[in-house]
Amino acid sequence: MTSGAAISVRGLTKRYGDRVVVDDVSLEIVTGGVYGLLGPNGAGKTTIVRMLSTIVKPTSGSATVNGFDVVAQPRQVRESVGVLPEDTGLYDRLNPVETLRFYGGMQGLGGAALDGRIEELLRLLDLYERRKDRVATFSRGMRQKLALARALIHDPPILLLDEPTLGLDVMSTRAIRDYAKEMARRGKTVLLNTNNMYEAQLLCDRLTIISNGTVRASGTVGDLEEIAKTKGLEEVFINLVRSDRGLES
Amino acid sequence: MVSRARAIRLIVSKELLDMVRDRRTMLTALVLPLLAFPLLFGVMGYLSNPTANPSPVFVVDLDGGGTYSTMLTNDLQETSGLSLSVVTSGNATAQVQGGSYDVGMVIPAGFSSTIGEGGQVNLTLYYEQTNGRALQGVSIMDGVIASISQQVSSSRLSALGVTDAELNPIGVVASQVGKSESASLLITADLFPSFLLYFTFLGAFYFMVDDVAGEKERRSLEALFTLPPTRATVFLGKYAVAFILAMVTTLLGLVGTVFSLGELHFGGSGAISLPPVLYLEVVALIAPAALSMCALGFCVSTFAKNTREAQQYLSPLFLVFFLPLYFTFSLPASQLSQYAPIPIVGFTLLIRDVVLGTATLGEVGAVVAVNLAFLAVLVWIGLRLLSSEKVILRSG
Repeated sequence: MTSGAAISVRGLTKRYGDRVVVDDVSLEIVTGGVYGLLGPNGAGKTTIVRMLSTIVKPTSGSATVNGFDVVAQPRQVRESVGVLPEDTGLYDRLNPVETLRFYGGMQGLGGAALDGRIEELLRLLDLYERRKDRVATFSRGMRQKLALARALIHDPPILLLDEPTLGLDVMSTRAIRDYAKEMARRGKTVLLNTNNMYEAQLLCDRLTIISNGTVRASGTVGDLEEIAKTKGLEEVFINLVRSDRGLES
Repeated sequence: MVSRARAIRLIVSKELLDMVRDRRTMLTALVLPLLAFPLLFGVMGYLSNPTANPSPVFVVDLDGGGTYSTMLTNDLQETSGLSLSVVTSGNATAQVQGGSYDVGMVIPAGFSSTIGEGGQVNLTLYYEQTNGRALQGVSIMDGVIASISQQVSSSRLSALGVTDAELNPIGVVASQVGKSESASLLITADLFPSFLLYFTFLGAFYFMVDDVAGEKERRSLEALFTLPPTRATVFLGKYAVAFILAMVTTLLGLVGTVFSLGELHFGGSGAISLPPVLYLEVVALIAPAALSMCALGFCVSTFAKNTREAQQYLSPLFLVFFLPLYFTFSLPASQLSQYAPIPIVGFTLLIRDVVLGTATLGEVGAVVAVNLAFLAVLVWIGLRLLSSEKVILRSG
């Protein structure tokens, strides 16, 4: 394991045929805190999360998560991460308890420990009262909270959150953000994929701006402002990605 | 770390719970097969049983109780498969056209005297060609009339000193070789395997449609693949559920068959009763066939973008189960074994032979071996598809 690095990415590239989706990306994400991957739609953020969670394999380059190689040690990587994909992908005919019992069981948990963890998460995310209702009856915000509970069921050291607040109402957005901050405070590493500037500025200790599959800049908000020679994350973002989007004057 | 066995158990439990709450799957997997065979064989049995469902015949006897007309109506009344109404006046054609009777017949005035005097009388039978029961009734009446005509003819020739041997110098005796079976058993042996395999497939059909394609559609596959168990484990878990459903449907179909075969009386032959051990043999043979069907369904569901596409790919396969009927109805049993290596066809023919009691160990071995090879290829394809990023991320 790289010293202090929860996630270490070196020259990561992903091609689908002739199309390069992620191009030679390198990142070093230290343990603890929220790290943001900021980029426009189609920048390659989701593909990076998919590679880090072993859903797809890199075409070239390497990545370690919690010290485990994503290609050579996929099982250990999957035990180390909790993933909240862009689409919640829940089973409509199950209720929250059944959902979490399934995912917890698949992570090797069981018995009273799993039941206790389920109750803790459902109470924490305000879903306990609806624990016996089928997911089909849930709002988008409740689904997102349940998907977050699913990602946290095995108390992983690393959380990969892909656009976690997209399309949510204010209250649900606040709850998800609060929980991400709480996780960071407890020493966990949160990788947050977002294209929401406010969210990135609010939550992230460090950021990488990515566009067209390549890294444009990395650092704190202050670092990025220096690199882009402008103030405010939105201006920084526009300055750094405008050439890719045909906005260069 | 979760063991493979526990992960498979968890997937099976989750899928079964999900399925129990899906009315559509429950209907096709449990209710339909339980009712289908009793309905199928019950209706077929009733319609094909002339005692239970005789053809109504309207006879207008204008002969006024003559010797031969009385002989004819008495013989017709005593014949199984006909329900005779004899009147002395009425319109036979109108009765048939009105739908009250299948067959109408008028015995003309002077019928008995004309025959008694050595003459000939033509009897006309009125019926609707589209009425299957009427055709059966006409066939039965034709036989009765021909028999009386033969008796009259014999007595006339006898009076003239002509013997039967002089009149019919060449006779025909049809003698069958091999096992003698009732028409009911033969028809059951031909139809039963196709329908049973059809229901085996139907039982797992909706689960297979929803299996991986549904996970892609709901975007739940990604979450599943971020869990520690391998994709092979996910494959085994889902595959086990499809197999369980297929076998439950088969067993329910067999239960339905046990209760319905007693109603079959094809061609007037008696009802059949199959020995219990035969049902066990059929289950043992269906199991490897079900394994292949489920593997095929899994491959299709994995390849499909969504449930709609999976349904479009899988639905035509239902026709495959009725293709073997062409072989069983058109070829002699001795030639069927050469078609055993064809998947599905082989099982259909094998189950047919088991029902008839003519299956050989060699035939069983050949069919099972071909099926296992077929299964191995399908499992390999299924695992390859599940590992393919292009296939897994294909949705819409």
